[in-house]
Amino acid sequence: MVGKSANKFAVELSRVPKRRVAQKMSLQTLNPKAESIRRAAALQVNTNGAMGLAKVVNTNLGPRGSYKMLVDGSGQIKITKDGKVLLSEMQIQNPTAAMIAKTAVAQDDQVGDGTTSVVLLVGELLKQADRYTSEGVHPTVIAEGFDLAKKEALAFLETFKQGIKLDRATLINVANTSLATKLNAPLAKQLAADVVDAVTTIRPPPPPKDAADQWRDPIDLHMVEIMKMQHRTASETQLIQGLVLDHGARHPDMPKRLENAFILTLNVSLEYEKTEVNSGFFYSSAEQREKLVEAERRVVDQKVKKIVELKNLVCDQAVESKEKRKTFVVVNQKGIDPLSLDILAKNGIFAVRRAKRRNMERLQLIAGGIAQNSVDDLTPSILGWAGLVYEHTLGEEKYTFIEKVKQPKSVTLLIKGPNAHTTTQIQEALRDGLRAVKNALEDESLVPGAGAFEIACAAHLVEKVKKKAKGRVQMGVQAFADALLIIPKTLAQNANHDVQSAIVALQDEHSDGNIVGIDLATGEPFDPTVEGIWDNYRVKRQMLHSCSVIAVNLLSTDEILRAGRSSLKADGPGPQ
Amino acid sequence: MKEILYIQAGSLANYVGTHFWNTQESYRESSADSDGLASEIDHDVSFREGVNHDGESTYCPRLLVFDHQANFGALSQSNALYGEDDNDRDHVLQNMAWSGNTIEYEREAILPSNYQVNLDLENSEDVSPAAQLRDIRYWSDFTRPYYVPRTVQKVPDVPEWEKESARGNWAAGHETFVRYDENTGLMEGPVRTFLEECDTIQGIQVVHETGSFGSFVHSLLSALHDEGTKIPVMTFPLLAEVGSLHNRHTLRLAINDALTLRGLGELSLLNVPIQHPAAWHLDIFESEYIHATRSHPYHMSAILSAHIESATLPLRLKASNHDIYSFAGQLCGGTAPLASLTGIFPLCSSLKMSQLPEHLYSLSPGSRPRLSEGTRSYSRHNVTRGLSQSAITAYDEAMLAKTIQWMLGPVISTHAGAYPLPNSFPAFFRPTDGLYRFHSSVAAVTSLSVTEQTPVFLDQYVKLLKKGRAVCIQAATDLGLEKDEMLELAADLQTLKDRFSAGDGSESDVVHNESDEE
Repeated sequence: MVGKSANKFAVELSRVPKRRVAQKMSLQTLNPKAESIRRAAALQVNTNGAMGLAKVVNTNLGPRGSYKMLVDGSGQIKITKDGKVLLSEMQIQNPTAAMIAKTAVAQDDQVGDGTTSVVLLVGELLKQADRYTSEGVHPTVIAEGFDLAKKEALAFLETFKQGIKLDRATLINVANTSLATKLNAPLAKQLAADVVDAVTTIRPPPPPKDAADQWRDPIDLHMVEIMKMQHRTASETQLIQGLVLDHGARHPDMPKRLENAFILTLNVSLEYEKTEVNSGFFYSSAEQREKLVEAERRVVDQKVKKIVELKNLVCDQAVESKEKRKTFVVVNQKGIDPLSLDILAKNGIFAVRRAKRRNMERLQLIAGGIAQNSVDDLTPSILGWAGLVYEHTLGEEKYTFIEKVKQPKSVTLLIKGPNAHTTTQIQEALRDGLRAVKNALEDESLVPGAGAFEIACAAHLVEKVKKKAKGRVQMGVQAFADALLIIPKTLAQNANHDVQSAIVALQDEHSDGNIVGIDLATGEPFDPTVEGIWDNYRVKRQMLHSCSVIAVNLLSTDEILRAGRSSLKADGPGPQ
Repeated sequence: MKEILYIQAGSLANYVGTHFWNTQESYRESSADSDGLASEIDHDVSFREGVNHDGESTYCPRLLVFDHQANFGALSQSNALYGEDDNDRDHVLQNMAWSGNTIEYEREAILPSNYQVNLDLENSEDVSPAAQLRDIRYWSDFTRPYYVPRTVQKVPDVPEWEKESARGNWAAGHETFVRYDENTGLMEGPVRTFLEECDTIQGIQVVHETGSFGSFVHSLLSALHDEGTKIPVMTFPLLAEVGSLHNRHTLRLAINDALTLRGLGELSLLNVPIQHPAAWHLDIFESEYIHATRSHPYHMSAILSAHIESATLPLRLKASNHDIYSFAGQLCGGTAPLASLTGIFPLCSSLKMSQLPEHLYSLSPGSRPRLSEGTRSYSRHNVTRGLSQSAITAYDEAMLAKTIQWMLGPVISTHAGAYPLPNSFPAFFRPTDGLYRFHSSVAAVTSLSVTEQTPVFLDQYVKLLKKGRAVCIQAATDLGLEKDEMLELAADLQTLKDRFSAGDGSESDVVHNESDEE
């Protein structure tokens, strides 16, 4: 189903201020209270900006949220459901909205998820605050309440998270919760296992039990290569216990398929390169030039020769040997020119050039061996090994598969799809899934999903925290608690359920002492932990932190000043 | 093969680049049935051969085009050669791995220009109408070749209210690059893939607008450099329009240019700064041979492109031994990687070869539009286009006789066919008999030179930075520069300039255009 909307690409927000500003300008000279009016106008701009931005992203949230198809002036399409991508792609014409967007995107950078939630919460926090400030409550009073509520919400999160055993089944649930927000259910389910296997493969081993230092290295998700392949007919994604490179050999005589291959990982230029001296030479004669060229060429040839020697050393087998034939592969981060390729090809060596920088690292983890920055210390011990290396050609694109390795500590997720948009869509989803599993493993705990935390935390704030708070600070706490409910509300709304009745049902169920989230299939309350719907602890923590910091900032703005001029004047709605 | 990877960044640079590629395309189109200039050019230097998804072989520029999204006009990543389905909404929706809702957000569609529409209709018999100035809204409006998708790099637009502060903002430019690289995988993707395709790359040729992309391109070249890639780089930075240096905004642009120039001094083997067209000599636009407007980039970019194309032509000629490395070495080996671009466009047949020097106008920053007596020349590379055999003889005689003052320094000359004028080129020539006007080409002279005057313009930056006026310090702070860093920058530019002076004490000869009154 496709909902078409005539929405403009550019986010147009804050239509109010223009007229207000005109008022303000005249009032300022006449009215001694101009200061407070200026403050009110600034807050109005901020509130409008925050709410407007929330409106843009709210349809993103959850597995029932919508994808966005952005079409630019040239007809070029971008599809995304990622809050971060959406915010970077949209032309945000309102400075408040842009500030929120930047902070929300920074949240994604840190923990890998939660951009949409932060934007929604900021919008709702300001909306709730507006209910009080419009009746004359000073914004800083509300801000004070927000600060208290945030502190208490973070403390509550510590008690609400569950330090459950992260076995494969649980991790698959975590991955699935994340993937299902961006992929259809069957595909999400299928990929969840692959995502978990990918992360557990690359996870550094725990330190030995008796080691003094019990620090375990963090998971580096860069060690999962995600390779996209555009394929007219095939549409599948698979986990490959090996490495897929997006290029192949550049010599027609090189073997296309090798078994039992030694792998040399190299970062050495095998091209005819000019000497480093910045020589302003004029060749005095053609011969002189020839001589120089020859000398340079010899240097390169020497390097190639050393590689060939190593190959001969390790691949030397008696003709009648019963052993499996040994082969040799060079993966080089630098260039290899045709003459060098020629020598390598003549010696039966398969070589690829200008490999990704990260593939140097990945290859060591996949095939073993040690990447070399020069050809001076080539010994058999630095070589890696793979059971199978082969080239695959698709149109003008070539791919090299390095597979059947012994103990891979890095893997490749290979996405095949009919067009660039679909493969990018799956790539975005996989990134989220990988980060969710990494976060779970490193947090060693999880938070029940489907809005369960927000329902419970809101109740906690109202029942426990608000009562202890002093006087008017209570209003801020109440506003914060109400704002948190925007998460389950939006989830319900995106799934086309009646928002009010869904929330009431959730709160009822919660007051019975249950952990309760919203079942998006029915709109009824259910226990997300039973269904395996889990969120990341660190994402929730960062979310609480980010949204309240931004909201408090926006509440305490006296005047929006930028580059020496008031933004109130400059920021009317964008072009119609 | 000595491939070049081309990089264009910023709107003005892309206007220049569009003319450049239209010229390359016209060489290629005519090379099949001609034995003239077109057949002397090695197209593989600039074009890459590929195969599209329909199995058709393609031949597209080896090029990365950066600009803000809104400046691309109707140019999309996909075209008739590559990814035609990618702009088909129904096709995209049907193939999504998603069964839920999708909401469309559209920006107002930009229709293809008249020229583009005619180009699509063109068949081999008809000659489509020429591009018209009034129809040119974007540089893509008169683009002739098809690009591979990865050529088109749409950098997110700067928000309306940040436009002023974003121009010339060094720190922001770096941030934009880092974010863009992170989001799109630029360096490991498109850049690496283009390099991987090259057998023996001779280098990277960059034309970029410093105000909008100076820092961005600096970050890109630094990233390549940091990976230990020793690929020679040749740059044509289009400097910002820096009128009077009194307000914070123009000062920011000037300091940004200073940072750009220092950076390129380190990263580029041959840097040819181009001053903003507003500062070009009027004769470039108006003479008895040409009637061009200053107010539209379509015209000025055509003139500039003609010179850049000619100056770098030796790098693309089959018979030539030049590559970027030797080319740069011959020009700047004895000094620093800084050269000036001068030329005559169009060249009239009545001009005597001995008069060439006084007719060369300068496109590079410097106080004097023309060469004057007594200027010491370190090295020079002249490229003539469309000289008749007798004119070449006259040129050579003048050289041998050393009657021309600047020929006293070492000069390398390349004589090539006339500069072609595809119908995307502005029709701004006056109908004059004296013009070397062939069927669809024009004669020209371009000269890349390193002279005493070449580094003189650096003085104004040095002075500005050293003086430390309050408003200047403010402007530097906007760019993320501390006061001591300003002095360091001044010192670095001074060092760059000092590499030119052979100690002949001709300082008195220096004329400053920029007076520095408070």
